[in-house]
Amino acid sequence: MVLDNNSELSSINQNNELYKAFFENNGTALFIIHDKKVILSNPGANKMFGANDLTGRYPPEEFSPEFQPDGIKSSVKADDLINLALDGQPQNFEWLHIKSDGQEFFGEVSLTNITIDGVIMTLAIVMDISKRKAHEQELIRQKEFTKSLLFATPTPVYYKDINGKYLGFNKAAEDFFGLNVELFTNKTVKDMFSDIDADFFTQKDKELFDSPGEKQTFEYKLQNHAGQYRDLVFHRSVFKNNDGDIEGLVGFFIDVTEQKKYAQAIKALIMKSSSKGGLELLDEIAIYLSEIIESSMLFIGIPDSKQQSITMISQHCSIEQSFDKIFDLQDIPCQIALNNKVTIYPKDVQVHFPNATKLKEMDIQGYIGIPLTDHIGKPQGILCAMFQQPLADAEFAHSIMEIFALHISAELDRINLGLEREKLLKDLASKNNDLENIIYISSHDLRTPLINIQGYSREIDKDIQGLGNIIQNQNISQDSTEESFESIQARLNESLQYIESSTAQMDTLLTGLLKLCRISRAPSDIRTVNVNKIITNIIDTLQYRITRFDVEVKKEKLPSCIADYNQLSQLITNLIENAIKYRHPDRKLEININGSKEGDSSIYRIKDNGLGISANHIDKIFELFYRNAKSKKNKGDGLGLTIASKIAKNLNGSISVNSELEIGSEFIVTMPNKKM
Amino acid sequence: MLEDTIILMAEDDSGHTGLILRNLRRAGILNEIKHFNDGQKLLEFIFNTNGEVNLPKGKTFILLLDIRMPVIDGIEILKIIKSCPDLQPMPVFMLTTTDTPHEINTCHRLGCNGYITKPIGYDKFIATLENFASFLKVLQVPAIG
Repeated sequence: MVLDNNSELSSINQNNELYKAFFENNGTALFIIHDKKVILSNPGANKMFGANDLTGRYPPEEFSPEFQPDGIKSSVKADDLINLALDGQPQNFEWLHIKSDGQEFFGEVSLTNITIDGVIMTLAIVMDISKRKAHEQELIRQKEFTKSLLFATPTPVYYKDINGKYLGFNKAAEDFFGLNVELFTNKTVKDMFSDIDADFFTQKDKELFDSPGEKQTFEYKLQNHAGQYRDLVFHRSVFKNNDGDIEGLVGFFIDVTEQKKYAQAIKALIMKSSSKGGLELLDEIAIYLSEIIESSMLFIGIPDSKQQSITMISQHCSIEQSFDKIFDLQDIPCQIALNNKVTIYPKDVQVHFPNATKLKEMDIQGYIGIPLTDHIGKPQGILCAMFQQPLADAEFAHSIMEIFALHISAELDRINLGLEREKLLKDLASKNNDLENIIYISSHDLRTPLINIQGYSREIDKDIQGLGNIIQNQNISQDSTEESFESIQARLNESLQYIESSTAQMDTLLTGLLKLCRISRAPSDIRTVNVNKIITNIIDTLQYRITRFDVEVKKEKLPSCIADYNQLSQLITNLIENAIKYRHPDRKLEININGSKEGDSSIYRIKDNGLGISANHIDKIFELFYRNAKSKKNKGDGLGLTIASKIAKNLNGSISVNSELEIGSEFIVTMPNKKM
Repeated sequence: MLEDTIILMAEDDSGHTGLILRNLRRAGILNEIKHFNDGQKLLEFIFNTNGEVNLPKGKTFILLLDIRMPVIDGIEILKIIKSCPDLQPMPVFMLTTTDTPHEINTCHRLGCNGYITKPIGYDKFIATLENFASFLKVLQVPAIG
C-alpha cells in the first residue's frame, strides 16, 4: 500500500483541532512510522531530535548510535520491537538516541500500532529521560561510593535494624571480629556474642531509638578475633527511610586500647618521677614498661667505654631465665641500637643475628632497641625489650618505649650529674679530712719538738747561769749544796742533744708534710703501666738493703693497670721498704708479690712474714706520722703508708691490709685496668 | 697528795719527760715518779699477766698521761683505768700537746680528772707545771682497793 503522506497529514490537521492542539503543543515526541519512515511527527519530536522535520527520516538508524547499551545493533533491535508493536504487542523500553548535534540522550519509548486508513502503522512516543537517567546513575554511583568508603574505612562500621538485627558490616568490622559479614546478617548481639552483655546493648539501642536526634557515645570492652580484650568507644546514630521513620542504627567503634595504655603509662611515669628518682625510678620504669608492652625481658643498659660490653642497670624479666648483669656486645642487635639507631625486629630477630646465643637460649622472636642519649645527644645507653612471641603491634611498643626512653635518658643524665657531684663532694671531704689531719698533726707532732727546743734552750740558759755561779763562787766557798760542774755539763750536753734531735724531728715532719702535699698535687700521667717492670726496677734500687738484710723477693707475673708510672712505683717502693723495715728479727724476710685481674680492676698483693700489725692498730697505719713503736730505732718519717694510700686514692685505686701480729702482713693494692 | 703517793707517768718523748720531771722537782714535788715511754709498759706495770690490778692495796697513785703514744695511746689507757672498778677512783691527768676541743671533750667524757696542755713557750710551760704541782700538793688521793 502506498500512502500519500501529505494528504494524510493535512486531513488529520484539519479534522481535529483538539487533537492538533494536543499533538503539537506536547513536549513529548510523537511520531508515526510506516515502512521505516516517519510519516508524521509533532514539533516536540523535531525538537527532541534536533531536526527541522522528522518526516521521511528513520530515528532508529539516523538518530541512534550503531549499538544500544546492551550491545545489540540499533537497527536490528528496532526492527524487532517495531514488528512486535505492529503485531499488537505494545512495547515500552529505554533507547539511547543521538541528536543531530551528536549529543546522546536516553528516551523512554512506547510503541503501539495504529491503523490509519486501514493501514497498520507504528506510533512512537518518546520521552526524554536523560535527567532521570542521570539521577539514577548518580544514585548508583553514590551507592558504590558509600560501599567503597565503608570498605576502605579502617574504622569498623555496622548497621542494625530497629529490632537489633545486623544488616551489615564493613571490612574493618569483619577483620576485627574475624567473622564474615554473612554470618551476622539478621542476627542479634545475643546470637553472635556469648560473652557480651546483650542487655546492655539492647538498653543502649532503646535509648538511641527513643531520642533519635542525638548521637550516642559509650565505651565497651570487647574481645577481638585474637581473643584480646580491647577498649572500644562506640559512636552511633539512627538512620531513617524516606518517610522519616527510623529504620535502624549505624554505629562505628574506635579501638582506644593503646591510647588508654599511653595515657596510663604517661600518668604513671609522671607520678613515679615526682615521687622517686635515680636507679629506683629506673627499676620501676623497667617493670612498668615491661608490663605495658608485654615484653619477655626488658632492660636499661650502659655500655663500657670501648662499647664492647653492656651492663644492665635495671631489668625486668617476665620469663624464667638467669641473666648476667654484664654481657658482650658482639653480634647482637643492641650493638646497632647503641649506634644511635632505633632497632626493631617484630619477628625473626634470630635469623638476623645467628650468632647471638642468648637470643636462641631465650627463644626470642621480637626485639626493640632504643638508644638512650645524653643531654648533648651522645649515646649513653640502651633501652631494650625482647619478646618470645612475634610482635603484633611493634609500632605501639616502639612509641611507648620512645616516650619512656626520653625520661630514662633524662634520669640517667641526672644520675650521672649526681654521681659527679658526689665524687666531687667526696674528694672535697677527703681533702678536708687530710687538712684536719694536718692541723691535728701540727698541733701535736710539731709542738712536741717545739716544746723541747724552747724548753731545752732555756734550760741551757739556766745551766750557763749555774756555771757562771760556780765560777764566781769557786774561790769564795766550797758550798756542798752547789751543783758540780760535771753534772751541769752533762745536763748541757743532754739539752743540746734534745735540741738537735728535735730540730731534726721537725725537719723530718715538715719535709714529710711537704712531700705529702706534693703527692696530692702531682700531675698524673695516666696510662697503661707494666707493673712487672716497676717491680724489677724497685728490686734493683733496693738491692743494697735486700742483700744486706738477706731478703728473698718472690714475684709472679703481674697484670698491667691504668696508673701513673712514677706514682705507682713510689707506692710499691714504700710497701716493700716497709716490709724490710718491719721485718721479724728472728727469721729470714720473704716478700711474695702476686697479682690478678678482677673485672675492671687489677689487684696486687705484697705479702711479708714480718712483725705484723696488731688488730687495734691496723686502722691507724695509714694515718699521718703513725709509727710502730717496736721499730722506733728505724728512723721512719711515719709517712710511707700515708703516702702509699694517698697515691692509691689519687690513681682511683685503693689499698688495704691483712695482718697478724708475729706472722706478717699482706698489703692489697687495687688499681683500675680500664680507662675511666 | 701523800708523801708516798707514786706518780705514774706515760710519755713517749724523752725530751718532754726530762722537762716535766725537772719542773715538777723544782716546784717541790719530791714524790716517786715512775716513767714509762709508752702506754703498753704502763699497763704492764698496773696489771699482771692475768689482767688483775697489780698495784699494792692501800697505796696511793696518780696518773699522768700523754695522748699520742705508740702502741697504746693515752685515751685507751684512760678508758681502761676508768672502766676498772678498783682503779676508777685513781686521779688521772692528761698532760698533752694536743688541745683540740674534740680530744678534751673525749677525755672528760671518759672520766679524766684534769686535762692540761703543754704550752710551747717555756715560761708558760714552767708556770703550768708549777700550778699543777701546787694543785697536786693539796690534792686528796684515794688509796687503791
